[in-house]
Amino acid sequence: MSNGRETILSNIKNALKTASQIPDLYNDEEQQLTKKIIANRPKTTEQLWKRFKKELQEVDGEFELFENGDKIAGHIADFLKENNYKQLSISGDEICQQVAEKIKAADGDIEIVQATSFSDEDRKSNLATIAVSLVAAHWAVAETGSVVVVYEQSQTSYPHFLAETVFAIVNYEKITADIFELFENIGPEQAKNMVIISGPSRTADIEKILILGAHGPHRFIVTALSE
Amino acid sequence: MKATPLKTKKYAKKAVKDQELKKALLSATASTVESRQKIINEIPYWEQLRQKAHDIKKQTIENLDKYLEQFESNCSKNGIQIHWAQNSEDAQNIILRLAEENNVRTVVKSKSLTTEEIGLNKALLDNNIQTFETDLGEFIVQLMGQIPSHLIIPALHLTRKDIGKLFSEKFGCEYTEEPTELLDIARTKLRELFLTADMGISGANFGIADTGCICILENEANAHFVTSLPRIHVAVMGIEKIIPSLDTLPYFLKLLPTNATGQKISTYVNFIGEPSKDKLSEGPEQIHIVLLDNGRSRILQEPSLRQTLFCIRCGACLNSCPVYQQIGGHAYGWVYMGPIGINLIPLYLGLSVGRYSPSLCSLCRACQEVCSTNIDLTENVLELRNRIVRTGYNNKFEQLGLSLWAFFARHPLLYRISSSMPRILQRLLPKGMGFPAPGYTRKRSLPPFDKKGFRKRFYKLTNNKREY
Amino acid sequence: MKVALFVPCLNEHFYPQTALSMVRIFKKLGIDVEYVENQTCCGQPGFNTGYFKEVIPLAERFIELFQDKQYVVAPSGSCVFMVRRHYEKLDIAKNLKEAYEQLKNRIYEFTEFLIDVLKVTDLGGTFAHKVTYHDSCHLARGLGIREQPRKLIRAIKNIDFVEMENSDACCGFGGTFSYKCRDISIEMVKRKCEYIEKSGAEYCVGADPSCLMNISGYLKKNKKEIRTIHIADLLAESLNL
Repeated sequence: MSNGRETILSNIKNALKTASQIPDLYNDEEQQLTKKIIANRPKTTEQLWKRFKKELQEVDGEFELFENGDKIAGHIADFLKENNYKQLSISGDEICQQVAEKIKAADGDIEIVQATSFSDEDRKSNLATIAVSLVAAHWAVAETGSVVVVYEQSQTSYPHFLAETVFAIVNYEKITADIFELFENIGPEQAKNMVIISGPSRTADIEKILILGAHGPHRFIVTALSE
Repeated sequence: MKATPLKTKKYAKKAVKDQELKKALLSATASTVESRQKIINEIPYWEQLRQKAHDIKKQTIENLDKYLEQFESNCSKNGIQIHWAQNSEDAQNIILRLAEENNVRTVVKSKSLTTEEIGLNKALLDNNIQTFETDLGEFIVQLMGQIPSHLIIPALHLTRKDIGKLFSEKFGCEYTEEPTELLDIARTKLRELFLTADMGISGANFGIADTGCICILENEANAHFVTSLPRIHVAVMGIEKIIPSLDTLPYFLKLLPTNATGQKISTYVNFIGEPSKDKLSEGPEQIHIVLLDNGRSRILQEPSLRQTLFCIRCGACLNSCPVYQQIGGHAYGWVYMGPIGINLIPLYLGLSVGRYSPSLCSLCRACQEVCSTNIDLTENVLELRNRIVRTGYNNKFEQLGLSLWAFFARHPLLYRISSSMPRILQRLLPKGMGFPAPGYTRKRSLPPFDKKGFRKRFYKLTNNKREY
Repeated sequence: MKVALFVPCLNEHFYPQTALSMVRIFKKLGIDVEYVENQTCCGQPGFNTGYFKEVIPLAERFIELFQDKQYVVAPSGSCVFMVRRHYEKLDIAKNLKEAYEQLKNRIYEFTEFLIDVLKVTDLGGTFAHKVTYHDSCHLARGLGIREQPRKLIRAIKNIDFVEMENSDACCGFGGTFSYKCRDISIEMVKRKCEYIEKSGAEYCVGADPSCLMNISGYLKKNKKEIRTIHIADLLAESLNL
């Protein structure tokens, strides 16, 4: 279809020969807007997580701080037992592997399903039916209560989306104040295959009533670990 | 979707009488407007964000060829295939060819006005390819056989009863009107479709030139599934959706969700820049992006109207438009509606087809106060009205009436007696007739012409002196 | 100080008293006024409907008539907006372009003139009634004039000023829109009048004769007791002029 390409590009080039009549509006220096954005930012990591928690809760996500992997493993094991879940799917991150081993140690009945141990169609069909997952997120954004998952690191996206309840672990230090700061830390290599998640999936398409768990997870629980 | 903007007068007349529609419109837009305002109140640099977004878009549009070439090059490096479609038919053919080459029988789609613009669903159906909308509102509207009534909230015009009835008819399940139960039914049905479809078709909110990826914002996760579960993903994107670089994205990520739905950020911001099959052993083997022109490069030829290409489809203008609030989306006769719609319809479809669209505006300017990229929507409407008059697509009686008015207004003497003459007529003609504008006074009275007019009264006050 | 009166066509033909109120207020403030002969219409109705070429003679006449005046004041935001912003879009005679550039900076809306130029807020009047205020589109969003009328209203003694809900929602006039899309226009003014009624005010104050004509037309036809009043008339009445 290079015909289409050539035609479109030449149409554009010809059109642009006439100068624009649209004014530039942004008169301030780049610095001014950036200064205002930076001024809005919390100062310490603790403050950042405080903001993160508030924002995540506002979009019906959950946040709980666990001191270490053992504590979170215990919490998830309890959750699975209370709700009669026998399986837990995990992403390919090392931290998930470690925590999963602890969960298995706490409750031998639980089957840990490593998403990356399957491929293609098998992965789809196996992961589609598992209600609870444990994944890692690689950044948190305080202003919006968001976490960022870079797929090359998690090696999969299925546990993050197919489960109904998702536990996401973030490194305590990897939190940015806002989206602007996030993109100071992420470049094209990571950005070309990632997602920014802010709470559980939702819809208001029926009479504008907010309902959670539209097609993706119903519950989204974030925790920060400092190891 | 078939474009019928020439019937817009008929649609609008019907729509204003629809009380239910009006109630639904008011309630939906009111809550979004309220949430939006709450967020904006906390952002002291909101106006500067809009202006910055305007400038970024201007920079892009004014160098569109270069950015498109850069986008194509970077996407290709990442393993994405780029196709260029001059018009709807081209785009349809490209996608049909891909479907045929890859044995595609079923397609799942996420919300994309661009695909509706090109009438893709019909083309797929005509070629025996089963196509399912997966955005809950679109899914419902598709089942109903209707078109969406709002850019952002497609099923705005339907109640839970309507939906309950629809589901029980189409799926044979027990009738319920409980929203969470309705969602469960849809979720189960759609999960099945996601897992088995051959091809996923989506739109794209932004195409990032320096990274070679697209960005899709959503709340339901359906776009994620559409773009990550089937073995082929095709994204259809208007050429104006390009932004230069990753570091220009945050401005738009702040503007779009707030303006569209009153959220700080959409639940999912998906970045798709490479077919993941190789690296992750899951996901699409092929990703194709269809770059759509369909009149956009023609808009570029108009230096004063180029701004229309800055639109990021947030829908804020709709929510603020008093006309839209009275007539709803269907009344515009095409996929693009409200203040941006009345600009796009004559520009994309031509002045002849779009001749009535710019009249659906009282020039109140509420839209450009909220526009994410600060487009001068009202000024564009005026310019389009001028074009329509100049090319002769205006109403001939109106032409006559306004030429007469201009004639009277040009001659001071005539202008002055145009008080006393019409006043006599006004008193002589039957009250209901409504002089000078019949129909103006069906529900509203016109004041009487003053018997002397200001000038005479002024001279009486000042004893015939011009200066006082 | 001398002010040249820019009399909108609606005031010339329907509401001369508003422009006369403006004259009387200026006299009270010790300002001389002059009436510029042969003025007609600024061209807004035609321009807004898309008849740019047809209003060029009107724009050129306007510039010629008012070009040497130091202050040009109109009791209408939309007319001032037309001259300040939209005359630029017209292909007016080259020899008038310079005059227009000057004129742009010397033309004012009435409340803008009182507050921003004369620096007068309190004229010393009294009006013991409950009033609300309608923000006209061209005045509020076009020219950014929202506070000036409010300051003037609040300064009046014994006045009870209440804001209505959505005071800046369009009243539905829109020039020829009120005729071309009359069904929609009627619904818009109906909604506006509902907001006005809800506010509990006896008077709806405005600064644009077209909006007031539209709103009062609906109120009268539906036999409502609420009256509309132009801010110039309000001020004049508060001073018993």
